[in-house]
Amino acid sequence: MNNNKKIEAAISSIDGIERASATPFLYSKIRNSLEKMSPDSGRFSWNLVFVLLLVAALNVFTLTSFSGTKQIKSEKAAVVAGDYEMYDTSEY
Amino acid sequence: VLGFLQQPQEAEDIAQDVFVRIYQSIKDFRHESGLGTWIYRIAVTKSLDQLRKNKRRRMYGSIFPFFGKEEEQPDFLHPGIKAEQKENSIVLFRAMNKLPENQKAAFILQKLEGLSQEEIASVMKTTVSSVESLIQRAKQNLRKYLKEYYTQNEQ
Repeated sequence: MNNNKKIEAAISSIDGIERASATPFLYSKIRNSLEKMSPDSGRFSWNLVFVLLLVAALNVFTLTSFSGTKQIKSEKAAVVAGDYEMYDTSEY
Repeated sequence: VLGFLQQPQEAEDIAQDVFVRIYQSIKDFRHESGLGTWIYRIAVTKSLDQLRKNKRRRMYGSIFPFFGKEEEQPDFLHPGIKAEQKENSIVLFRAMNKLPENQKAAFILQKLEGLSQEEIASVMKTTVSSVESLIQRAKQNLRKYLKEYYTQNEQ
């Protein structure tokens, strides 16, 4: 058989294919995973609340720390500017 | 799902995921398309996601052996294939793995699931002419891959 015939035979090999059926265990597996999901939904929301509170607390902590750092930085910047005689000339 | 993944155990796991997803999001179903189309869309999306994951795993496995050895996919024999077509279908399924995602999806939905071009367009959220073109290109590519295969294995 030449290659062209082999190619066409391969392409038409799935013509009239029968639908694959699932194993008998699939239904019980799906049922189990759906049953497992229901009680978890309540716990999941509490987890979410906990995560949100944690994120909020971390945000507050970060913002507080950041504003302190800014002040220290601006003081340091003034010292450095004074050392190098960098003055704001826009007033003159 | 089995047509996409070509691994019965993995296909079963994904089928399970599909049903869980349907259960979780049935309340969001907006009746813009038929229920069957919506389910097919979830199944196709999940299958393509899994194929991408497998591809990434194989890629990392080939670069970093730490992530696992690169495993070649075993030959797939679809349970619905006629006995006399087994050998030809194994070669075809191997060639189908080389198709781009959207061509593979359109080809599988038409050939294995028996969907019409209109139904495929609805599942893939595209036009009928795009589906027609995808299937045409899929067949062209399959002919190319099969030609390479049969030329290499001529002896």
